[in-house]
Amino acid sequence: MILFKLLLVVLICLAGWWLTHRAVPWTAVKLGRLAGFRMKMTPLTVRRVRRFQQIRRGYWCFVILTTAFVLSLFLEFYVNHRPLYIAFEAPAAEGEDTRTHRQFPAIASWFRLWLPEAASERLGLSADTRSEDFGLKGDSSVPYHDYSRWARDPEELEKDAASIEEWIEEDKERFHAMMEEFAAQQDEVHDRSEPLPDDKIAEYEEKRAEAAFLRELKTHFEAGRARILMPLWPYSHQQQLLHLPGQPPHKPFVRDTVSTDDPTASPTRIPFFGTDFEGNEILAQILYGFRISFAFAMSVAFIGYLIGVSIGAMMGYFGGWFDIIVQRIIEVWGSIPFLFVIIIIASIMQPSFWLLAILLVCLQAWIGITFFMRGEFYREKARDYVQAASAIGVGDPKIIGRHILPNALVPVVTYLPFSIVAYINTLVALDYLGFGLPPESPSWGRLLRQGAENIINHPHLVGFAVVAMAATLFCVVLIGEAVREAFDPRKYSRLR
Amino acid sequence: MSQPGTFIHPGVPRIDGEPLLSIDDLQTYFHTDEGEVKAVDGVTLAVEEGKTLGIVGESGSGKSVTAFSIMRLIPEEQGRIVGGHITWRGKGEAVGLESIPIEQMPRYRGAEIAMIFQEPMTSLNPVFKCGWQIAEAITQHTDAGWDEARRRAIELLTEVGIDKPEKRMNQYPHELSGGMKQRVMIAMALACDPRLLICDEPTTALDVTIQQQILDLIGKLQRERNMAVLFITHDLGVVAEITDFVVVMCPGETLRLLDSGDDGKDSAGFDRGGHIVEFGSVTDIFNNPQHPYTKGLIACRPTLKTCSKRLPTISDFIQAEKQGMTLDPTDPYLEIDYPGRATVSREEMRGFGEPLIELKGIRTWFPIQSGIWQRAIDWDRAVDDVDLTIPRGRTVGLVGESGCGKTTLGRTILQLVRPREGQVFFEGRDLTTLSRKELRPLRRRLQIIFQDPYSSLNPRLTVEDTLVEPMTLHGLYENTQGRRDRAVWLMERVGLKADHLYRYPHEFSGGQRQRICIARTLASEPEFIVCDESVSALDVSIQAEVINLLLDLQDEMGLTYLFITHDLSVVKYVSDVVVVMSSSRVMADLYEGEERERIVQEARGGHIVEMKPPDELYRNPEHPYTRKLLAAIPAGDPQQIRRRRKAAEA
Repeated sequence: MILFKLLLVVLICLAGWWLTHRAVPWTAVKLGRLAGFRMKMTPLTVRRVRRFQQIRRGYWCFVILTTAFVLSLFLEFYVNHRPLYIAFEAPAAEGEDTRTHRQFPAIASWFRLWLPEAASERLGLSADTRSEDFGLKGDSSVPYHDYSRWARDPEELEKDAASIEEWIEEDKERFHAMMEEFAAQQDEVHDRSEPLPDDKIAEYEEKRAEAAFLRELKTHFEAGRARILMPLWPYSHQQQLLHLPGQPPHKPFVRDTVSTDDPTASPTRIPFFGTDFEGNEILAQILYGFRISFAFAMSVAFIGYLIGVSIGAMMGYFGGWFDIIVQRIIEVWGSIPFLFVIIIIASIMQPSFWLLAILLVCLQAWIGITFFMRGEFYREKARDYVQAASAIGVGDPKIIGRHILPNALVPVVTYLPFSIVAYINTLVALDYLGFGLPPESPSWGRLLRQGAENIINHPHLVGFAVVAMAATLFCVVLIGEAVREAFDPRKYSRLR
Repeated sequence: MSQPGTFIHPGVPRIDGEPLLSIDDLQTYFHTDEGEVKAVDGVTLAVEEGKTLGIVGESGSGKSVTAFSIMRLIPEEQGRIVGGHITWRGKGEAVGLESIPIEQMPRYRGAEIAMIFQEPMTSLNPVFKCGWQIAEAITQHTDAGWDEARRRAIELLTEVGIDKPEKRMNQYPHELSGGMKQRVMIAMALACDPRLLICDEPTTALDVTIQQQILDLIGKLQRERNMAVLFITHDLGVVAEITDFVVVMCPGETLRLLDSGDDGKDSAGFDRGGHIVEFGSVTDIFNNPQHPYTKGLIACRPTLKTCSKRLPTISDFIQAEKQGMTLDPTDPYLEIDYPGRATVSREEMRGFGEPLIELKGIRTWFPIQSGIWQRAIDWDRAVDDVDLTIPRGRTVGLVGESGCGKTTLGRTILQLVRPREGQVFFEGRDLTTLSRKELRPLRRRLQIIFQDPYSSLNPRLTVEDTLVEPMTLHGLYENTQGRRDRAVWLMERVGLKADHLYRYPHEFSGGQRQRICIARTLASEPEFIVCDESVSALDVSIQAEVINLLLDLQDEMGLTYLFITHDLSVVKYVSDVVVVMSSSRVMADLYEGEERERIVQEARGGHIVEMKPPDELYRNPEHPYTRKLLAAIPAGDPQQIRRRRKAAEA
């Protein structure tokens, strides 16, 4: 089983690599051609890319990180507490055909990430299941973990029923023992044949009915009427594992199954990587946290660069009064303390992903790159090819966009990885301080805080978060270093 | 030593006796992404004590790499000496410089062999005072203390002809002019009494008048100190001026044509890197050159005497040699026909000689700004009151030293820079009053070709994009196909192939790039072209080809040129009228007493000092500044130089 799962992990990684480094570029090139672009790299770019590929460690980090990010966009498919597929063939009532109820909750939860709720409703994709539809009782969501255990081996239902009955016997015994002790204190003799109190009888009846229900359910499961397919790692950041024995957080690497006093809780394995204080599984938190941190950093960097590059380009190209005034504005704007503004806003309203991203863009992210672009444009606009273009009569927007910008992008590309590192750090820091994303979203910063508060008893909380963060940042920095080296016109050399 | 092809080259030097420096069959290769590049491939030469040896050659011939190999200055990651011997007899016994451990090189660098470089602007460290830098060189190689070193430094500065040496000692490099910096560099090189001075293009970045002074200085120091000098340059005129013996180096590729066999296959010669093709005394090289490459080098550079309609090129000489003909490179009337030569003449065009552009009182001043609101506190008077009429179909040559405003004047005519005062009339319309938008249609007819072919093409656009852009912009030709066809025509007209259209600029050599620039300029079908030092950055042979191309295009299309250059021989060759520009700052030194005071007081920026047809100007210069300029032209004829020198001494 473990081997099969490992094989599956490898397959998913390979698929992710193929998607990221074969399918996506190919599609982009085709689409670009359709849109009428030539979509051919200039020899200069080809040479830079080749040099980048020659710097092995940077290139491998790039491959790993991009693949990981693309894979993380489909995280719901393989790390989720919801099943990929669940179906139940309800037994036929009289005069009716059997009706099979099918649902794809994991896929639906993935769609819900991209589509507005209403749209996914209309598509008939619902991430929530009703127990009634799947042969269970009640309105609540199906207990997927139990369901999959039962589907795997219907005998488990018999065991569960038996354990309920066992519990009834044990409880009876406990009750009698208690009564005997009580009677002994009164110097009386407790008669075991005396009928039990009504409330006990009612409770046992209920339990017995439950056991009977489980036995009935077993017939359905044995007939193969219930089918469920769980994802590879059946936990997610949205699910609090409250049915686990003991109090969260749970320690990692505990392989024993623990049985409990609670009759409804069947013997359950504790997740391999443990849980945090809210009972969320750690690996799922780390993985979803990677996605949100990276997406956050990328969005901030992208929007920030879009604004910063255009403003810097205009400053450098037009110069004069425009340049002077914007420079002064940047000087004032740049001295606004980012953290205090966020704290003030967070105390008024709960910041969401986009609010936080836009705040970071407005306050910080656009400023740094303007200096680079301004300098770059000042230098490039004095070059003769720009003069030649304006002597031909090319207008300003076209000179900026078509002539200078492609030649001025080197600082953007070399600066980008390092600013991604900075924005990941910013998000983690804000989450750590509690001014970051809303509590239901997965976050490395919160894990770090929980861990830091209990570093003696639960070092794993800090451990996993730090390993994940360090690995990501290390990769990004190595990429940045390789990119800078590949784009450096001078190869390393030294006069002796 | 193996010789490529069928030619036995006459003057490959033999080493006999015990010269100061002898190089035997040196080979230095570079490793690049594209594979091994044979920069120097078989150089044999000897530098005698107290003599000057010149190395002449075009770019890529390996002349600088030879010098760097002697000093072992080639970084190991980039290249190495793969064969040959460099023998140095500085202190009696012979040392093989190519094989000693690199740690021992500082013993020879600076102390016994010194070197000066092309760029005086970047060879001095800008954060240290000049005097400190010289004194440091002295303390490095001798056991002199700082006071002693300072005293020596002042002596050296006096020796290299710097006035007020005590003051200069405490100045930073940016406070000195280019020529002054080169003098400081020479002083540094001389700091430890080197036996050999290697000069790598020491005057290329300088103006002609300064070049003359530096050459005189190097000659004087060489005689006084009995130093050996290895003088590297691309300019035969400079070589004639200063050297005793000359080695001509040639990139192997140039000889491909010569060595290719009858069956059309390339012989091994093409594979060869830069090597020596001729060696001889300076008079022999100039009066009796043997190798066609040398002949071509001599002939393709226009001199004041050149009268032919088109310039011969190196490939003409190689072709002729292959066919067994002998051409005389010193013949001023040498005419060689080539395909693509214009068959019509511009004199027959409509409107020839009518005024096309008229400048009236042009003043282009740049503000010198200061403070956070960047107020103009003073003006840099680049162009100061210029009146000029440029007739249709003619070439107006504009000469002057750097900083005289000639480039600014060219850009002012095209309204790339707006003048502060004055009018530019083009066909009766005043361009200075037009807005950018109104100017746009006129831009098609007024064009410019820049100096540096490496920076004047957008590296991100293919040649086709570059050529089609102006046509699209001005709506020439009906559709994309028509424009592409025109681009093909243009490429072929400027001597390139149609399949070069899909390449990017960096895949071309400097000369080819300049041809692409010319094609781009022609794409919008202009009438008036400013050639802003358009041939200055090119090798002499390519310069000749590009000049020929420009002259052919002028004849074919009746173009009008404003030919801006600092090269007085070229301007004499191409122009119908020569305009000399200068500013008060440059000219002040020509006068003395009250006149000088007046000129300094006036502080006039760049303006025209003399304007005449070339023959008359060169025969009868009136303005003292023109006379000074003309006197500084390297004659390119050793006998004439000797005569002149004798006259000066007498």
